[in-house]
Amino acid sequence: MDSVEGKAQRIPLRQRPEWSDVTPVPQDDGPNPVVPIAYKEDFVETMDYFRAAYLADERSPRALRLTAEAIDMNAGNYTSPAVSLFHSLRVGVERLSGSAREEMDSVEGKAQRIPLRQRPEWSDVTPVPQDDGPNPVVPIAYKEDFVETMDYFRAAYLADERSPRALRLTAEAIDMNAGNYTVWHFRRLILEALDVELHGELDFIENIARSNPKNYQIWHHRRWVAEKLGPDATSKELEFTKKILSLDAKNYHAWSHRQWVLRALGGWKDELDYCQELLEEDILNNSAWNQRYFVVTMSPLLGGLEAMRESEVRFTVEAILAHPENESPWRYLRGLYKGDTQSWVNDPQVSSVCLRVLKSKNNFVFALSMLLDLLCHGLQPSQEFNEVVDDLETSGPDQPDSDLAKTVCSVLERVDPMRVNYWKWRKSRLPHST
Amino acid sequence: MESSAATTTPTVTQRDQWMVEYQVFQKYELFASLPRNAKSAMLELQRDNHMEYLTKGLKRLEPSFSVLDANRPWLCYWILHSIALLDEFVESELEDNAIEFLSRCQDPNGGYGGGPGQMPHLATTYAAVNSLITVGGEQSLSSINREKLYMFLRRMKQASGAFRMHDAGEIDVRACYTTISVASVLNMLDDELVQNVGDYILSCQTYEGGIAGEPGAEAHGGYTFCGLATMILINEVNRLDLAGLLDWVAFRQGKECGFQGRTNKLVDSCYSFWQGGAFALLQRLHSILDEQLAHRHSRGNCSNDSPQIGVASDICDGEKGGEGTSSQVDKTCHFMLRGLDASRPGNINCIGYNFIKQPAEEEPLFHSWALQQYILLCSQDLKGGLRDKPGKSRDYYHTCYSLSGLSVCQHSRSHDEDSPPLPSALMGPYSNLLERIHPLFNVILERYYEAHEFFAKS
Repeated sequence: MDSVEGKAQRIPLRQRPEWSDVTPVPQDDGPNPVVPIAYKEDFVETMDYFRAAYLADERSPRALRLTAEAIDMNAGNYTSPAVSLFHSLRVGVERLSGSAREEMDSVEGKAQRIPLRQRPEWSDVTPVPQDDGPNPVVPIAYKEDFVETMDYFRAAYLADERSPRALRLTAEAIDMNAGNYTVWHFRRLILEALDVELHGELDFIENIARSNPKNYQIWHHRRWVAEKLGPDATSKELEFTKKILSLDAKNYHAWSHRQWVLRALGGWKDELDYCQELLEEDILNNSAWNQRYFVVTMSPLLGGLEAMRESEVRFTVEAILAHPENESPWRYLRGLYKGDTQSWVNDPQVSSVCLRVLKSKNNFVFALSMLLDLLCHGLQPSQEFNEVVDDLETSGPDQPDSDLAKTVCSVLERVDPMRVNYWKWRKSRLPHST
Repeated sequence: MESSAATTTPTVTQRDQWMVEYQVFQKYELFASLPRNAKSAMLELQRDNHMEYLTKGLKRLEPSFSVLDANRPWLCYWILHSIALLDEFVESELEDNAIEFLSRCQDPNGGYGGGPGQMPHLATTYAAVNSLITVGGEQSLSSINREKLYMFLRRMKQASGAFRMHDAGEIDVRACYTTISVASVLNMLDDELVQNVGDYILSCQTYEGGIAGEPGAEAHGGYTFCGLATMILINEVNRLDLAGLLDWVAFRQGKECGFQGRTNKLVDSCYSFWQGGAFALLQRLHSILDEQLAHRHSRGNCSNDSPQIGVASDICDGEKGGEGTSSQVDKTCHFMLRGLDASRPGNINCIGYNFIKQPAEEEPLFHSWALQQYILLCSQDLKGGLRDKPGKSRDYYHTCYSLSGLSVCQHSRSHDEDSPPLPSALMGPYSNLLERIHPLFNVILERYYEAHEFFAKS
């Protein structure tokens, strides 16, 4: 009867004697649905039985339990925008739209919610209201369901009741607000106390994450679970982050989680290929560049930055020449020489890529910027550099800057006016006689 | 070689970027086409409407805010700080209610949770403390249980030097900043809290120059601000590669005139503060920047790879130079005190104070005018509140950080607090002028002074 135990080692409904009299009703998606979801088998089965019970309007205890399982699998349809110090705080703004189908399912699921005070299993518990005081500021006009769920949660939390019903209650509370770290924390305490098998927990998180991909709590929880599962979880975690990144290839939390998985659990083998794949899809994806740097510097299989430099420089130079306006490979190129500035200054591939872009006279801000850095670090410029930069300096002959670095700054001031103060400052801080 | 770009289909980054550029430039074109008086009307900060929006939030929030039920001290801070930036007042009854409510969020064992009865959390602790400083006054400031709060901060400290957000919570640069900020303003920063924090932040500075949330992750505006401010407050900022950081942050301001948070991401008004604030901090770090550059040049023009150790020892008399991770923090605030009160041994808790008392050495290195234009024309909702970018809805978070960024812009050319900004520093009418903030804490400067004085006695 417990959805916890159900989740822990979920027994398919078709194998449960209590449902043997029911014929599941499949979803009427039609032959060519749009936004089709590749549902997991468990999800499909649960919803098929739910549909059967719902259509038969069977208001029975077993149907009640079934709704709990269904809600558990598809929690968090209503957006709980991420809650954080910065980037993910978009209050009630970005409803991350689930598919229409998900919405519908959850509406059905939610329609079935039976108030906790009417559920026999909670009859022994006195809910604890929030101590907001008589005149709170920023008071939220909570919906009744929210208040009730949190009141029962508080009761369980204060009693430190680490029970299956309390675990189910945390799922309901998380569904209503996935940003409540206290609920998540308590859920972990219960999972530990009950020694729940944790693979099911990954599915639970995935369902919540689908609608809250930018929430700190979910990802922290996921890391906690994966850490407990150990290397067994590696491939699942890599798949999971891949799935989230396929929806938003720059999801900061997903990348952090993925890096943690690689470092803590392993799975480096295909990571460079994965970065390659993402960069082929979107060469401007700076998160993928950053991941590439992470792999190249950290992977135990690749031999480190120096061993990889040659091939990485080649790849990066190619990316720059294809899109010289793309800042990512420029920064990456510089990064490839981290800790070895001398090689960066002396590598002819570096000056050559700058020169080629400058000669094209298009999108050359990053090339000039890198040239400036090279000069500041002691590059002795060839005559070609002097000529190509002079060529860009159109402000007339009354600027007889014999100093190439100064001329570079002047050109940058003109062609990159957003950073005019910065380039002026750079000009004022040039080392003597570059 | 450029032609390949034209022939292939745009990538997701390009498509999203072009859509935003289109919307932003539409705003600017519309603005350019207006007659003079309509232009100045559009540049006006809609104070009354912002106040109405903000006050309403203090009094009632719609059910959709349930998803922020674990962030109510944040809502307090965003709203109260925005009101203070506008130099408007909250009825004293509402202020009392705020103090009372935040007390209910205070945990008996120290720190503030996201609402009454919730576990204490570093981020909401920072928000609550900043809210109470913003309200100001004896009753408000004395409502903070400092001793217990200190115990909470210590409980969150990890061996690595970093902090957890809450019991068994996540570890990241935000946690470091919120801890150090709160401890500094409450005059309780000490060796135990500071130990190894600098090592952790340093490990988060990426090859791009900015700072990431965790080691290995991508350079990001929010974390860059947090990391930089933390390093200043613990007097270890010279360990960062400041030239690299400055270069990275300088490139975050794009043709939309606002800031993006990461390389090749979309403009977002909240970075007006996170990135703009980093500039406000860098503006007072030029002597260290120059020392780093000089060091680079003196080493035969060959390397800036590890200027930290050398510069650190130059500045801090070698006390923490070179000997690795477990360095004791130099508590004498050498550089901060230089020229101020060098005879008196410094206290690490005075860094925030000395930092802002010291006049800015340079003009701001970002484009203040452009940023003001983005905030006023693209992020301002004329009906009140500010938004991320055109096409989005207003919210309290973006209202707070857009206004904070706007204040940074307006005051960026006045080198000390006694010289009010010239009208030419402000876009729009002079009535747009906002209160000055302390950029290390993002509270109104005057309220910071009040708190500093109050807690100095504690």
